[in-house]
Amino acid sequence: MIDCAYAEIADGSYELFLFEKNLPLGPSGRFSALMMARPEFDIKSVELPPVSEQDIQNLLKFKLRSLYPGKPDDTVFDYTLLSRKNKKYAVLFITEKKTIEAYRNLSRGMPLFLPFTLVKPLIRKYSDGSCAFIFFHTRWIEILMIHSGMLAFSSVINRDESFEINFQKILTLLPENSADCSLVFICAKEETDALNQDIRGSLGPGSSYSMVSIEELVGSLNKKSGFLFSERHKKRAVPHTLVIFLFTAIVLTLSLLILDKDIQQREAYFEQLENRMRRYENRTLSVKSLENELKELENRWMELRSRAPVNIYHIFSELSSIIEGRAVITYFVIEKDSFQFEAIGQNPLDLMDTFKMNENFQSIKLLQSIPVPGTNKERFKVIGVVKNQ
Amino acid sequence: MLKISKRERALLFVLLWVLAAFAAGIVSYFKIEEMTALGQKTDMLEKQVQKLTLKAPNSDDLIGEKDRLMQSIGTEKEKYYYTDEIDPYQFSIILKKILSETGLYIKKYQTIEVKERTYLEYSVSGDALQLAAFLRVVSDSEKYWSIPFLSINARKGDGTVDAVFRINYETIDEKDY
Repeated sequence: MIDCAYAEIADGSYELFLFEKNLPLGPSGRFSALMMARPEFDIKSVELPPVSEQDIQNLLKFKLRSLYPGKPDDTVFDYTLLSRKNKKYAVLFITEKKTIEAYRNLSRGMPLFLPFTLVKPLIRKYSDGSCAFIFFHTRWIEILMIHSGMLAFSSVINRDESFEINFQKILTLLPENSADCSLVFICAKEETDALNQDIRGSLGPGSSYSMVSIEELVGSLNKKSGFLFSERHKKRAVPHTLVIFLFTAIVLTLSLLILDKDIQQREAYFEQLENRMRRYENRTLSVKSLENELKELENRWMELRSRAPVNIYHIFSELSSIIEGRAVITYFVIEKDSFQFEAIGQNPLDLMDTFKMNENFQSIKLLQSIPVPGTNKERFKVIGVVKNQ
Repeated sequence: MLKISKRERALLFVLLWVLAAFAAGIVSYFKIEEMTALGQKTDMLEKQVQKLTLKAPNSDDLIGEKDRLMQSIGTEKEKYYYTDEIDPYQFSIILKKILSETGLYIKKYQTIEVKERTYLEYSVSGDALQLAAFLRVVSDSEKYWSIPFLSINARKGDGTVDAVFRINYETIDEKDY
């Protein structure tokens, strides 16, 4: 609940009153919001094309020239939006600059509003048909004609002491088919009963209308109510350039973060590769040392094998397989791996061929061959070398 | 409070823009440079790893080969006497026993020093088959016995032979193997 005040103009100067009991407000009096005097404002309804909210202000500024006769430099306006079935309307509150400056001084920084601000929450209830909100104030009466949830027009008349005169004036402002129109009378709580009686008397018994007290509407005001001509209201939108700047800054920061993340991933992959490389190097080193060890073992093996003595029995076996049946050995000598033998037999040259084909012997030479008299045999000497396998 | 005009505000925005763009540019430059360098290093390392993967020998084969060689060396070593395992006299006793078992007659035996090695030289006679049997025993012995010199004379033509041979046993130093 907000303690609200309203302003009245008396002898060209403003006086402030509290809504509660219509008490005048002294210089040190405190209030939370101030209702401005409706007669000082023009209210127009403008259908809006589909434009962004940021462009509405410029569009209305442009249209203002055709709606209000005052000098553009001396004129200020504020607006509130109404929407229904994909259509958007702006309700313009137009006045002179000096008027608003005066109200700003009077309000001491507190928010400002007009009767429409109080009525706006009620409009939804009458969104399908026509409705006239008749706002009775101490010195003036505002008629807000709503049609299908949109403001058709708003007029203000000076309040006469006689209800009859006021009522006649109101009737002239209402459309001809006002019989189908819902009537909502808004007045101070203290005059509700008297006004109700007058209305019933004028409309006749059985007539349909409703009464709402101003205090009730004021009581439902809160911070979210659309206060008018506030600096805060105008600064609500973040400047366009700042939005672009912030957006670009965010995009740049995100790009840098993505770049950084990519680098981190690449570093992790590089580290993996390095570890793999290190493993391979260690493996290669161990394989290398294993190869060296193998080489050493092979050398040792070869050395041991080279020291193995000639197998004399094997040599004799091979020798006997070559010359068996062809000759008889009469003398044989072997020193280390060189041997020489003397034998008697036929055709020693054939034996030489057989020797050459044998893998156990090498450098075989027939030294001498002498025929044995009286026989077809020859006494021959052979030298050669044994291969140590 | 300091009031700034629209023009000043616009200039301030431009300045902020330039500063932000400059800062972002510098950071991006360093980051991209870092990324490029990292990319090059990664490429190089990838190639090296690929090469190593292709060239890497199979260590299992090498270990198998090593085991095989060690086993062969072990078997070969067993065929040698260790330095203090035997002496010429013990060896001579063994030989005499074998010669008598094969039926060969020892005409003479002596020790000979050749290049710091001691050999036993035997002069024997007997049947050629007995000599062959003796040579077979020598060749098939568990340890290596070497006969660096052997002369056989079978000129008599009666199936008997006279033979002279030098014989020795092979030794290894355990420390060397």
